[in-house]
Amino acid sequence: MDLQRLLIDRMENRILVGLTMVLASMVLVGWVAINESGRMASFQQQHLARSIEKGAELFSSSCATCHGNSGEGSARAPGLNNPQLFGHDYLAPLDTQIAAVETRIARFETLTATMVDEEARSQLSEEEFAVVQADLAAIIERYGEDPLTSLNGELVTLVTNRANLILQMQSAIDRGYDPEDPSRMNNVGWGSTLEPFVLTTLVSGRPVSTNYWPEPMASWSQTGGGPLREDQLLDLTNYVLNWGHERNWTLEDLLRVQQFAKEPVEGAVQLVENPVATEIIDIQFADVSGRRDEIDEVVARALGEIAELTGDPNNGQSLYNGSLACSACHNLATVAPPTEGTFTRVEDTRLADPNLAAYSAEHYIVESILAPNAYVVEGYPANNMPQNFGERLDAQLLADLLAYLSSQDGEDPLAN
Amino acid sequence: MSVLPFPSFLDDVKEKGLRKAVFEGADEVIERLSAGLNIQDVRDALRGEDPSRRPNPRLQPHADGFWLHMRPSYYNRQVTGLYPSFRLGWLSTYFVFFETITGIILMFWYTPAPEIAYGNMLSMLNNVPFGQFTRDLHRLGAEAMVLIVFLHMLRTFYTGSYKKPRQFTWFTGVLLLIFTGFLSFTGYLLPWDQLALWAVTIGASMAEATPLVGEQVNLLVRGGPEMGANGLLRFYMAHVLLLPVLLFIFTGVHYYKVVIHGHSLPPREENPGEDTAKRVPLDRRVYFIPDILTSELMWFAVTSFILIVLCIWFYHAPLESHADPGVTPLGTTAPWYFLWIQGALKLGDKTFWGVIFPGILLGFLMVVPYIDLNPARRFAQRRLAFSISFLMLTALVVTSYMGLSEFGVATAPDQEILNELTFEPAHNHMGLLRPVSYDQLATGAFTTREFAGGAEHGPAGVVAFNDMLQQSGDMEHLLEHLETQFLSLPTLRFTPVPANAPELVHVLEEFAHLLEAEQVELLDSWGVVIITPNQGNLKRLDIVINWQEIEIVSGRPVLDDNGNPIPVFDDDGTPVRRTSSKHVFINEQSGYFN
Repeated sequence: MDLQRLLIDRMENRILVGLTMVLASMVLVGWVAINESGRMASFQQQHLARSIEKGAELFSSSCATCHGNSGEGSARAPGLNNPQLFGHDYLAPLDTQIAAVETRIARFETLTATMVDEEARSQLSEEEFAVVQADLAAIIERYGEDPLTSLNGELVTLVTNRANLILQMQSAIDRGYDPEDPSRMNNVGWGSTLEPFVLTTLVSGRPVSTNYWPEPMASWSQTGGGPLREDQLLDLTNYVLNWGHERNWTLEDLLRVQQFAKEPVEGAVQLVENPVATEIIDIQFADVSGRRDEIDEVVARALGEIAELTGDPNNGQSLYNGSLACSACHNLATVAPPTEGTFTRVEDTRLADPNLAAYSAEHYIVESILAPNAYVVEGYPANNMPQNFGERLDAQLLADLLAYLSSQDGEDPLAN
Repeated sequence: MSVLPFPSFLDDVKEKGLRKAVFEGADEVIERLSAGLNIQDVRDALRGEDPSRRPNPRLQPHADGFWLHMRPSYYNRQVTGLYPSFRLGWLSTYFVFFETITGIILMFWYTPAPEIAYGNMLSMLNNVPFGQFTRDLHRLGAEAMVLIVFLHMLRTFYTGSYKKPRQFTWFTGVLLLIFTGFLSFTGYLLPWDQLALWAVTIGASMAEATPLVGEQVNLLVRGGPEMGANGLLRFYMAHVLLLPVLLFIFTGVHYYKVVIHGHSLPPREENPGEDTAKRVPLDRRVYFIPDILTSELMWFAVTSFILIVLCIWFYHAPLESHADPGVTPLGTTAPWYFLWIQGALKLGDKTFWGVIFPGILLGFLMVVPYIDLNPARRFAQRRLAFSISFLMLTALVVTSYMGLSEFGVATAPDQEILNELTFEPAHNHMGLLRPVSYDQLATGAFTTREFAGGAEHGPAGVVAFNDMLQQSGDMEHLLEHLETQFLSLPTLRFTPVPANAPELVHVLEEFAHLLEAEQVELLDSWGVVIITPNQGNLKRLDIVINWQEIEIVSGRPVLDDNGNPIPVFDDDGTPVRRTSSKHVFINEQSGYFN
């Protein structure tokens, strides 16, 4: 009761206690405020760590059967504990050095040429000439009296090292690794970072991957009909990304990978019984002029074959939008010319080109399907359209495609 | 001349001189702010002098003002001390407002939808300044409020303050207790973690036991057969709208009744049947302004300070893993204040013990003042009421204890031990293995035989264990078992725990003790911990228990005449050995060991 008398019965004590407590509370809240950013950061780190733990559990029970217990991959699925996935470029350091030496050689050659060439020398001001002399002196000081020999020697060493490094990767290369194009993200033209790549692969799966893997990658998200919740997919993604956490990729890491990613088109092609133009598939733009006659001959033959057939525009449509996936690019004008008004566009615009004077619209379109690089429309890249329709179409399917395109004819949306 | 329609301050200065104008201005401001006290009054009040004899300004705010119209102008000195109220009613009110304010702040960061809700919790913890602090305050306040309101009820009972004319006050008080419980309970679900989902699933399953309309009530509460998006939204709406509205209305009614009837005096001050609360003699009056007001402000400051200190150093609102309807955590219970119902449920019929029994109990509580017609309030004259209350309190404690998962829920001892070693952080506890420092989780295989009592322990025990596994063929079984757990090891060689890993030693010692304590059901058992690297900063821990199977009938081991368990043999006469295991992954940054 003493406490009550002291603290509660006397008003000034109450005021004092109350004020003290208010002040103390303010100090404490301020103290919390000061520590907030640190606390939030450490929670973030801790939560990521625990998410990785949960992801590990999911991986070992759901993913390891195909992707390997330690993510090394198997014949059923590519390795994820994999420098290729994380885009590590083993050749990059050597490439940088090679580029540096090459630059130096080029510089040395320019400098010596300037020293020798009276006319070039006369055009230089005194300051500029002094710079040239100083640069040259610096190179000679570093590489001796005959810099070109030692620089070339260095270049040879580097190039040999590079070749040796690639040689050491041979077993990985046999399993599908390409040291010159070492990033999976670049391979597939993924425009974002690895995290959404992994996450979206988990979310949607790879529905058509049966074409190049024994089993398709299923959708693992509940959204896509799979078993896992969103947070579990994030856990799994965090686990997969953790293979790249503060990682110094070594050659052993690469060689440990049992399986690399496969290119989706490989083996995905459904071949037909009587292909219309196997001779002229895979002609690169640079090679077109050399094989002009061959192209003309095959296209003429194909035109002759389809002249006797009636195309089915419905089947043509399903080819166009389905298995051949033409519509994937030929929809807006950005990637490739649009579908609408193809015949009109060819007659009004393309055939105006003197090189195509003798062509009919049908001839032009058939040639463009079978040998896309034979004529590349200005403003669109060469070598961009698949070069293998000649082995994927027979005469009837080609006729169906043409029938569909002609059914889509009308005003050319690009005409203006 | 001023352009204002009333004299400006400058006019005042011209008229009265600076000093007088400033003083009168200040006086007016103070009087407005304090709703009736001028500077002189404040000064007198602070000096503890009697109020002046002019029309008592301390009463004016109660008569004219909105904010104080519901507060009494003065109290009886007898009720202003700690006894008899213990400030419990005031504290309950404090928490009503405290929870409302912190709750409204939390609402800014919360979306009542599965998956999103848990993400909200995380972002509150990693991206919202004061997010964790506010959540801690709200959660601690919620748990404290249930306790305080309950204690307030006990106090009211023991001082007999529910008796005539305060029967209805008591009745609304019981309603408030129920609302408080449901508010706390509905809030439990909102984080959408395992703790929330399962505690609420257990609590809400009682709704299913409602007679006749159980299924409909269940559907109404959960919005579907299982707790899901609809259920979460319903709990949210109940938590932020329905129950708060009811709580506020009945808090108003309750307090109105308190003021109307006056604060009841300590029992010893009155004769049986007397109620003198409203007749306060002049010499016993303690005015609200300033005495009670300063006292309340002090208590406000003190209580807030205590809550802040608790939430900084001693209490953090739990957050477990994301709710998963497919995984029931071992040892799930309802929130502590509903444990008594969970315990009662273990007595038998779900409908009776889960719905009818609590219903009768709460109904009985509500009508206590209408049944207990004994006018006496002094302890000695209420022996029967006190005895019944002690009986009920005892029953509450016992049924609450029975509600714990330790009571009457038979779990296989091997599962108990595995859980004890590995369970995820929950209720601020976690499995024994988790807090071991990451660098002490030495890669390798370790056995409890190193630490078991008996002839062979220490390094010799490990050697003997290796030999035993090889000879009995158990090594092969162990590797096969691990294979089924997605751990492929070519071979396994057990070694003593390295000397620089004392924390791991400690866990294995505990593990050995746990096995020893269950040596009847886990006959001739051994346990192992196998630690393998998984990723650069991630290790996998496999815990395996192996024992000789014994005969068990309805959950209890069958003992022979000497009190020993009876081993089970297969057709070839070899003893049957059983294996069970669990594995966890531990990341270097998980911070279990901080």
